Formats: sequence, C-alpha cells, structure tokens
Amino acid sequence: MNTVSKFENKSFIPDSIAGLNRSTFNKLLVSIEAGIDTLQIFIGICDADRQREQLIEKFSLSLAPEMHTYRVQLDSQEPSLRLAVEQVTNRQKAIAMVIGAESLGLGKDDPTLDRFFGYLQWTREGMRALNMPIVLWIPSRIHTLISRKAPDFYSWRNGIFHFEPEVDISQNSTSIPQQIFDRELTIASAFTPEQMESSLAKVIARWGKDSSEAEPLYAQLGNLYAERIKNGKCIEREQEIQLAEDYLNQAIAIQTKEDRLISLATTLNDLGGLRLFLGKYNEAEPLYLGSLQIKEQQLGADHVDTAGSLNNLASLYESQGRYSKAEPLYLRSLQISEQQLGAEHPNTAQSLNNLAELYRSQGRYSEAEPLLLRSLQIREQQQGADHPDTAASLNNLASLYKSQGRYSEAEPLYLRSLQISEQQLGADHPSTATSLNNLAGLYYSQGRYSEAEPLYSPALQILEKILGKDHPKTIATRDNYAQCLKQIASLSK
Amino acid sequence: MDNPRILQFRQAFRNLALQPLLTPENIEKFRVDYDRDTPRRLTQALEDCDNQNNKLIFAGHRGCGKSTLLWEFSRNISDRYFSVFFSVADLIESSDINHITILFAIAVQIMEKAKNLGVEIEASKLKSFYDWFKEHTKVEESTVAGGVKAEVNLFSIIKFNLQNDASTREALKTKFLRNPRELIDTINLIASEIEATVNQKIVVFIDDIDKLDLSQIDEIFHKNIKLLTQPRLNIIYSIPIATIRDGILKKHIEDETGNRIFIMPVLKLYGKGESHKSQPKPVSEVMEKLLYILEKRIDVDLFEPEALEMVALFSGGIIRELIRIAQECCRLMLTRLREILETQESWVDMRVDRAIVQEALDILRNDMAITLSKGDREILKQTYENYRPDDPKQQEFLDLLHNIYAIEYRNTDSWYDLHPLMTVQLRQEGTIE
Repeated sequence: MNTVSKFENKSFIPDSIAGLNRSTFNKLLVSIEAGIDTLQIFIGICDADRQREQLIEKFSLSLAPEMHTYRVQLDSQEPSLRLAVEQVTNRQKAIAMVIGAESLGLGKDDPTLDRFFGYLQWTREGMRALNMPIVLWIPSRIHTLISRKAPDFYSWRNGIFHFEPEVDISQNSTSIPQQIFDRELTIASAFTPEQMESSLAKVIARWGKDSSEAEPLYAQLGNLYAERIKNGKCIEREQEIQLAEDYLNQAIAIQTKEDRLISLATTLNDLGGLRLFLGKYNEAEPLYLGSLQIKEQQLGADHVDTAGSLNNLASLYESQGRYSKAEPLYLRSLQISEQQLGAEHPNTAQSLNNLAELYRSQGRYSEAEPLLLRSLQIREQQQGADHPDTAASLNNLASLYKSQGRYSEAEPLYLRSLQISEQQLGADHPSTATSLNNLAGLYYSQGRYSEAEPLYSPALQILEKILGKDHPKTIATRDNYAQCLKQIASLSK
Repeated sequence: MDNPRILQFRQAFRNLALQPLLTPENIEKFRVDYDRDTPRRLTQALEDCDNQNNKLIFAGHRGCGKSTLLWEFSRNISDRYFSVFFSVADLIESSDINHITILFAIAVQIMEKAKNLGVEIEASKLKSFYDWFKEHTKVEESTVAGGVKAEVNLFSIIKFNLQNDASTREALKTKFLRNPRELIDTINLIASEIEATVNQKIVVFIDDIDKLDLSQIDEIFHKNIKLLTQPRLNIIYSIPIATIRDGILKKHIEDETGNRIFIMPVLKLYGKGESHKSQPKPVSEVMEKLLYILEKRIDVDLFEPEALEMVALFSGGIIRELIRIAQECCRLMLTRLREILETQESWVDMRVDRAIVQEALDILRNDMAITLSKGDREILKQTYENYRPDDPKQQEFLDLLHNIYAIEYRNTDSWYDLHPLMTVQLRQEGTIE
C-alpha cells in the first residue's frame, strides 16, 4: 500500500460516482450469475486500466467459488473475440473477462480497431458454441463506434455496463501544470513593476484613475504581479497577490464599463489563472467561464484563443477532479489546435500533453501513453531537447510509467526533466519543485528512502515560498516528506 | 551634348516620378489641393475617436493620391496629435508583411519618433524599451557601439534588420504569432508613456498596405483584424479599394472598426455615360485640376495644349495614371531628341504632340493588355456595358479593380468604368462597340 499522499483534493468527487459504480457492479454480477453456462454477451465500459483491473479482480472474488473467471486477452493484431474466447470454451462454469480492446486503434492509421469490429460483425454465428457469460471490456471511445461498426453484434448484446471514472487514490505524482496562457507562455514585460507603477501614476495624473487610458496599465500591471507570483519571483508574496487581484479587478471594471470584450476575456483569464494557481478553484471557475464565453462569441468557436480558454477551464476541472467535464474541453482544444495550427505545432503538443495527463489521472494509461510520446516528440523536434516544455513532457511520461510500476523506465526521464528545469528555469522554480517531489516519490515507491529524503526538503522549501504553506501541493509534499522521514526512522530502529 | 531642350525634358521626366509627395520640397513644388473634402472628413473622424473606436480605414485606388493626402494630413495635425506616418513596404520586405510585423513596425516607428522629437522619457524606462527592441531584432550590444551613440544608431539598425534580415522577421513572427500579447502590451506601454508625457494622443498612419497582394491583405484584415485593433492607439490604415469591394471582408472590417471606412474618391472626369459617347465632354473643372497637376511638374511649353489634354483624358481621373502617361511621353521625347541630335535637325521647339501621346498610350495599353485573360475581358465588357460587373465581389473583378483595369467612381452616385486605355483596347479587339 502506497502511503504517499496525493495532491488532488478528493472531496470534489461526488459520492454518487462511487455509488453509481457499485450499483453497476452489482447488476453485472447478478447477470453473470444468472447466465452461467449460457452464452451471454455483456459489454463493460471502463476507461481506466487500473479501475478495470480492480473490477475484474473484484468479480472473481465476489462470484461463487465454483465459478471460474478467466482473463482473456484479445490478440493485438488479429483481435477476434471468438478466437480469444475459444481458448476457455470447454470449461464448466467459466466466465470470460475479455480485455485488450483498450489498446486497439490508438496509433495513427492503426487498422486493428476496424479489424476488431470486422470480427465482431461477421463471426457471431460461430460464437453460439460458446456457452458462457462473456464480459467484453471496452473504453468509451470504442463504445461510441461499436453500434455503428458492428451493428449486428451490438444488437445481440445482453447488457451494457458503464463504469464511471473514479479518482485514482494510489497516485502521487503531480504533473507540471500546463496552461496555454498562464504558465507555458509567460508574458514577459518590457517594464519592471516599479517602472509600470510609475507609468500608471503618470497616466492617472493625466487622465484619471477610472480613465480608459489607465485600463491597459492596470491589466498589464496585474498580470505582471501574477506572473511573478507564479514564477516564484515575487518578493512580498501576500502583498503582491493583493496587488495583482486589485489591479486585475480595476482593469475588469473599466473593460466591462467600456465593453472592451477581447481585453476583458484576457484579464478574466489572467485572474482565473492566478486563482487556480493559488488553489482557489471555486473562485477561478466563473472567471474562466466568462472568458471562454466572450472568446467563443467574439473570436469564434474554433479560434486558437478559444482553444486556450477551453484548455484552461479543462485544467481547472481536472484540478478539481471533475474529469468527465474536463475531457470534452481538452478534446475540443486539441482538435482546434490540430486544425488551425497543424499536427506538429507546439500548441498541439501541449493539448496532447494535457489530455494525456487527464487520462493518466483517470488511470487510462494505455490511452495516455501514445499521446505523451507524440507530445514529447513534437517538443523535442520543434522546441528543442532542453526546452522547459520538453522537460514537462518527460516528467509526465515518467509519472505515467511510475503509475504503471515501470520504475526503471521512469527514473531516467525524471532525472532528465529535473536537470532541464534546474538549468532553464532555475533551482527555485515551481516546476523544479514538482520534479524534485516526483523523483523523490519514485524513490520512495522503490523503498529508496534515503535517496528520496534529500529531494523532498528543497522541494518543500520552494513550494512553501511560492505557493504558500497552505496550498494543497505544499501540504501534500510536506506529508510525503514526513512519511519518508518516518520510514527512515522505523528502518533505523 | 546637354542641350537645353533635353535638360528640360529630363527635368520634366524627373518631376513626373510616380512616388507620392512625401518631402516638404516636393509638396511645396508639386502639390495640388484637389480634394479638400477628404481631409475635412478625416479630421472630424479623428476628433470623434474614443478609446474604443479609434481605427480608421482609408481606402482608395492605387495612385489616386492617398499617400500624398495622408502624409500632408499627418503633418497638418502634428500640433494637436503625436502623429506617426510610415510605409510598411519601406520598413518590411513585402513578402513578410503580416499583422505581426505591422504591429512591430508600429512600435518601432512610435519609439523612433519619440526619440527624434526628444520626448522626455525616464532613462531607466527608455533603456527597458530599447532592450526590448534589441532583444527582438537581434541587435546585440556589440553591433551598437556603446552609450548614447548606440541609441542614435539603434533604430537604423533595427530598420535595416527588418528590411534585410529574413531571420529577424522570421523570429518575430515565430515568437509573436503564438503569443501576440507581449507585443500588444509593449505597444500600449510605449503609447501610455508617450501620451502621458507629451499630453497628446498618438495617431499612426500606416501607408502602402495597398502594395500587397489581395490575398495577403485578406490574411491581415480578415483573419487578424482583432489583433490590429488591440493597441490603444488611433491608427489609420490605408488599404486598396478592392479590399472593401470584397463584401465579406468589408463587412468584417466595418464590424471591427465600427463602420469607419473612408473612401478617397477618384476624380470624375466624365459624368456617368459621357465617356462612352463618340464625342465625350469632360467635366471642365476636373479637367482643369488634372492639367494644373501636370503644369506644376512640367513646363507647359514642352507639350502642345491638345497633347496635354489628351494625357489628362486618358488618365481616368487617377493621378498616378496621369503622371505615368506624361512621363512616358517625356521618355519618348528624350529618345527622339537623342536621335535628332545625331542628325543635326532643329530641336529647339520640339514639343510633345498628339502623335507622341498616342505612341505613349499604345505602349502603356499594350503593357496592360498583355496580362488580360479571356475571363477578364468578359468581366470588363460587362463593366463597360452596364457600368458594373455581374458580380462585383468576384475575385477576378477585384483583381482588375486592384490593378486599375476597372475604376470605381463614387460619391452620391457610384459606378464602375474601364481604364480609358482598356476601353480603347477592347474596342480595337471588337469586344465592345
């Protein structure tokens, strides 16, 4: 059991999802029991690999001892349901849990999914000989296709069982946050805060504090403070947070009064980003929603700026654990990037990365991996091997491998990511802290406590300084650190 | 060798350069105030600008005098506004002109003007601005020799890089296409600082956008006009007339600028229908204006009066066409004089007569006709016969309009007609009666 605590706040997941899944589980359980020794086709829909594994495990434990649950793997190249199930057909009281569909059709121009549908559609006659309940596990992306591509098979089903994604409680790595307008594309300013304050004073003296002349300066100054906070560059943290809030709000007031909609969308987004960064999720949501609405109206539903807003809102939902709300937004954002900017564009890489991170959080590892690999490849090619974005991709891929228990693959990636962050962003940047924490978490999982310990302490220091002592991430890192120290102490006894 | 007649024609030839009048001497010498209404309307429009609706679009035919008028206008308002006039085509290599390079050019021009006028910006802020420019135009400290002197050269180096170094432009586009916000923010920062210091609003005039292809203009004004309206400055963009004849684009520009499109009309040499008659009578007042423009540039003694009138009649009311024909006549005369010089004939009072003008017109007409396609001829025929094409929004027609094969005459009554040389061409071909 992994004791390292996680960063996500579980309280956002409604109990109803777990309750819903329990009742779906029971429905499928009684169906299997009733259908034993007769051909029954049940379709289990579950997107998360780990959740699926846990469910299959739970079924085999819950079914009567004389019943035998068999895990049946579809062939990755010739994914025929009948051929796969035939392996267990002559056994009594058998139940086939068919997995492997989740890996089909993930690559570009990958024909295996169509083959799978082809087999389903044309081999049902041959399946009559199979006298057992078959649970075909598929992800929701295949469910949306199956009724169209294998209609005959689908019409023949004995039940659809939809399991909702649940927050993964064993996961402890954090992704490096990626928001198109907030972190990744930092807005550099030609001016220091002091210079801009002086310009603002001049403009206020000339035109007044509520003048439209002052508005761009309020907006820029507010964002400048927000950027400093997010990048750990601020000196008086609490004071600068207040200044950022005040200036952004003053800008919003003038923009609203004067109907400066595009600027308003930008500033709403800035303020939302600051609040998301500070962990004030509920306060960020209306701002992001407002910004998105303006962009959709003013720029159009398929504009790249709209994609940025979709992405930001999705990442907020993701932070809140509202995964099912986040996914369609990420998908839309990705689609816009690919269409408007191309498959190799850095924004596309970012969208791929974000979607993959969501899938990882949901335990949908087989869907996450190809996206992360594509994102990493684009970034290495387009932005360079030592770009901070490349570091983020490396980190996220490493976290995926770690979630899958592929520790030896994860370690070199974490190390490379940490090295880039330190060199390109600095030793006290939040991304460096994330990298330190994640690498420490990997060592911890491997029982390498003494290697983990020296990484946690600088990570915690950075986060306390930049995010504050009460931020969910700081708290989680502090807990991780404490656990690690406890392990070390108990070992030395 | 340099006999006086040759010198006279040579001078006339030079005076008939096709460029807009942008220097005080040239304005002094050649300017003819043939359109008082447009500057009046522009002045009013500028006064009506608030911080929301402060982008004006100034459209007209190529060569109808937009640049000359805007330049003079920008000078005339310089006591009330911090006015900045520049040509994008002069600043950026034309294939690389897009909304990003235009915005960057705005920042460069405003800053340079402030420096030239000695606007007192705090040294630390000035340094921050200069550093920003250096960073984005690859001007390294070492290329600019230290201190004060460095700043003297900074903007010429930046401009040189923008014009000549494709990699600088590429880097600008790469950086700001993905993230234009820093660019807009910096322009606003510069503007705030200057406006608050000089207590005047900035007006930027961006000229020569009409030198671009229509497709490039569409890219700039259709897809990216939101960004072009983001800086909090008064900006006047001069664009070709064909752009606003593209219905979708026009609507788009109107929506984004709050209906602020100004059209500089072409001089109406004939009333509608008059030019199609066998003995058309020009509007005498317009004829006088056109002749006066020519008289400012050439010794009237060099042309026979009826030859000069012929030049004016074939201009279609477009200033640059007027100048072009007259210049072609001078070129022919200079060639002829050289031949005559060798044969020792009398040259003293050689003048451009109708035959020379005819020859010049034939040369120019052939140049134009050579690119005409069958479809173009069909469109021109419709335009001639109906005073408008079947589809004024058709791309082929817009290109003809853009290149002055067809001309739009407007005011209260608007119609299209052909360039007079095209009328001759199509008549000769038998395409029109």
